[in-house]
Amino acid sequence: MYSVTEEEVKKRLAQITGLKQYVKFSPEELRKIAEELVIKSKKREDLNVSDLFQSEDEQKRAKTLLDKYIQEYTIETVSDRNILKQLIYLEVLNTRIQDSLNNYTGPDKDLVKLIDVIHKNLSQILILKTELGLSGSKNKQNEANALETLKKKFKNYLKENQASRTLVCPHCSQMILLRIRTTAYEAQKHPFFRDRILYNKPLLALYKEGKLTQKDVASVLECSEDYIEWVINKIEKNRIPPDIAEQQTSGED
Amino acid sequence: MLSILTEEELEFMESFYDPICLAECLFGNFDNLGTFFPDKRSHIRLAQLSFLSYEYLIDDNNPDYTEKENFKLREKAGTLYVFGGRKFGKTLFVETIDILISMLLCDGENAGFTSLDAIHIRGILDLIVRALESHAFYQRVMSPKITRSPNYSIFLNNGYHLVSVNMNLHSRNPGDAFFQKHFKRLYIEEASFESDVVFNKRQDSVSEDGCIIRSAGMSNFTKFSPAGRVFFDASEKPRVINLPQYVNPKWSEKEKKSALKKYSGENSLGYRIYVKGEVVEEGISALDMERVKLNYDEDKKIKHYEVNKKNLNNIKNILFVERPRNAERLYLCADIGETAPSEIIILSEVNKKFRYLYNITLYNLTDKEQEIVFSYLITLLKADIIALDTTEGLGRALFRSLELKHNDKIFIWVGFNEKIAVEFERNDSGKIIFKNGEMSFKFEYVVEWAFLRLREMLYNESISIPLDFKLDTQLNSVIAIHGTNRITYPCVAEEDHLYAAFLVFSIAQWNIEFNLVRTKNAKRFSKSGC
Repeated sequence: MYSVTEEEVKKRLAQITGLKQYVKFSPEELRKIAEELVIKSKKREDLNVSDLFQSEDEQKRAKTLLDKYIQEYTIETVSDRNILKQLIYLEVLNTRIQDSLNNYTGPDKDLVKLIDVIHKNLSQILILKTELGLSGSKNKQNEANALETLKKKFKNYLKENQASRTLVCPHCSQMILLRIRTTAYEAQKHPFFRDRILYNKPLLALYKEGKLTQKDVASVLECSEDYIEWVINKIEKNRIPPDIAEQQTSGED
Repeated sequence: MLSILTEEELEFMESFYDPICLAECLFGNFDNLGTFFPDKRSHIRLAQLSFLSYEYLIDDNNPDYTEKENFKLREKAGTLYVFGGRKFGKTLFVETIDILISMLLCDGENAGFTSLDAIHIRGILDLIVRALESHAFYQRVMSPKITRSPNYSIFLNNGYHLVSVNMNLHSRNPGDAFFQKHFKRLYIEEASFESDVVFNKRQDSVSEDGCIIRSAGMSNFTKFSPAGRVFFDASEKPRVINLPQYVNPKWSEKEKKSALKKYSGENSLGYRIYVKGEVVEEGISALDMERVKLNYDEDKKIKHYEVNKKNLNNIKNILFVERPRNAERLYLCADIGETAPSEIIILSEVNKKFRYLYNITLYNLTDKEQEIVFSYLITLLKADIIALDTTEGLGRALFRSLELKHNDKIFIWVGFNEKIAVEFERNDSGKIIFKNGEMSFKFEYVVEWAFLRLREMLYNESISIPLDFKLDTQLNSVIAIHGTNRITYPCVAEEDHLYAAFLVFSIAQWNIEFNLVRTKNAKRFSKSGC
């Protein structure tokens, strides 16, 4: 959404090079940081929340709030931008009212009025947040709960299944196993399938040599014992024609 | 406003688009898809991994490819045809689970679900509806809108739309419901039953980019049926899975024994098809169903009755049957089952045309109990010709006792393991040869001759058949197998007794036509002695 020119990046790069907090970064990383800073300042300029307040303290508070929203959310439309500006104004205003309420020493009658103002302000904040999708309705909370549960389950799944992923090749429709390596996944033909049929050659070789029983192989392949003889008959005795994929895939992939 | 993706969220999306991870995490129990346990995951067995669709992992927005080429990649990773024995998760993973997964991952997808009739559609889509209505994640996140009539229509808030299409195989216009449909993914349940008429109509009901087909069924199809053509198509081989029932780890010796008993041996067609998942490669459809259907009287439905040991004493109030007034002859024919049910069919004959009137099924009745039913029917209907399957002991015993009791009727013995006279033996000048003073005959096996006679009658439109789905399914499943010396015509449907009863009828009719039987006159004595 925000375009960055080379000039702007260079200018910002010159400003931050040599600063203590950026000393440990490489030139590429510094450039990236410079780009991000340019975008951030553009966003700030775009919203210009400091114009809303006169006191420096409040301007600072507004900027902090703005940074927080920008970091966590992406503003999609001009109308969203304006609503966010209003929201920040009301939030800072709320702090101002709270401060004056804390320091209030006048009659109780006015105190009630002040509290009423705070309530009105808070409900307005809530309306704006809902409009921006920052606070969920009950339905959204339910959605969030369901998603949270799924997230937790995914985490557990990933913990227990880190080493590999299974999928099908979109060119030859053969089963593929992706094994995790330090840099990227490494793809290999799935060792437990021939075409799409459950089969593991070394395992069945061990069975035929008598090193494994039919029961052992069946428990590894998660099938019944009868299946072992069936698959040997079907595949190894050439009851099915040679793997078409083996003939075709090398060129396609 | 959109929040910026974090590392954790990227990991979430990676898991979300992995069908194995998603299926195992979404459903705590594959037998009850409506439950969403916070800490219970299910497990997909190794063999079942290949039944899932992996199209969701494909980047289908690759700028180097056209839209159609991108979709082709999805098609190759998602299309699957699983044919095989029973109970190893075909329908569950090829259809049910994949429908629920695709609902989450394929925004705006136009999907269809089809099967041979409404019962089979309801069987699967009711599971889907129940999952959508009670699974916390689907209910809260997808807000499904479901209608069940006139057909199933499921619409989700991401634009995914699933509709059911009834093949209506037994109707006048099978497959007509496919018109105006253009699916990007199509699920086919019991795909082995799909006929050529339906196949041709559904060919045009795909989107312009193509269609991901997810098809599951048993291997009871013939080589030249739509399912057979896919199965034997070498280019589809990587997308065709054929497995036996015993890929399921729960298959045990006990299950094997009961299957052997049910299908009468390991080499029987039933065992080979429904357990081993074999396709009878040499089998081709023996009946041209288009010609057979010309016999169907679609305005009427067959009157079908069931008798078992509970309602046996009440048969007079159950069996509402009567002899048509214009019937010249009335045939009562039956396939007698020892452990399987006995099927009785009743047909009337007028001007050499036959009308199939009633079908009565007897369940778990002893020979004495069956005799009661047969006697009742013979007396009530004044049946002229009674033909029974006498291949096994029970049929023979029943035949003898009924013949004794109703000795004024014509009884026809149909032993499928015997031979029958089909023609006179003639010399070169065309005259009948006599041996030992008797005419000499040419013989054929009863079982094959019965089929050929039945086929002739059906092709000649000699039998008026009211709508009978059971009979239609069984006639549709008759295949011709070429052996070394003879061609056999077995029925590969799960039940073939009604078909067998019609074979009995065709032999009875042949006996009458070829004049192999003579009416027995009951001995009557008069006082005058004349």
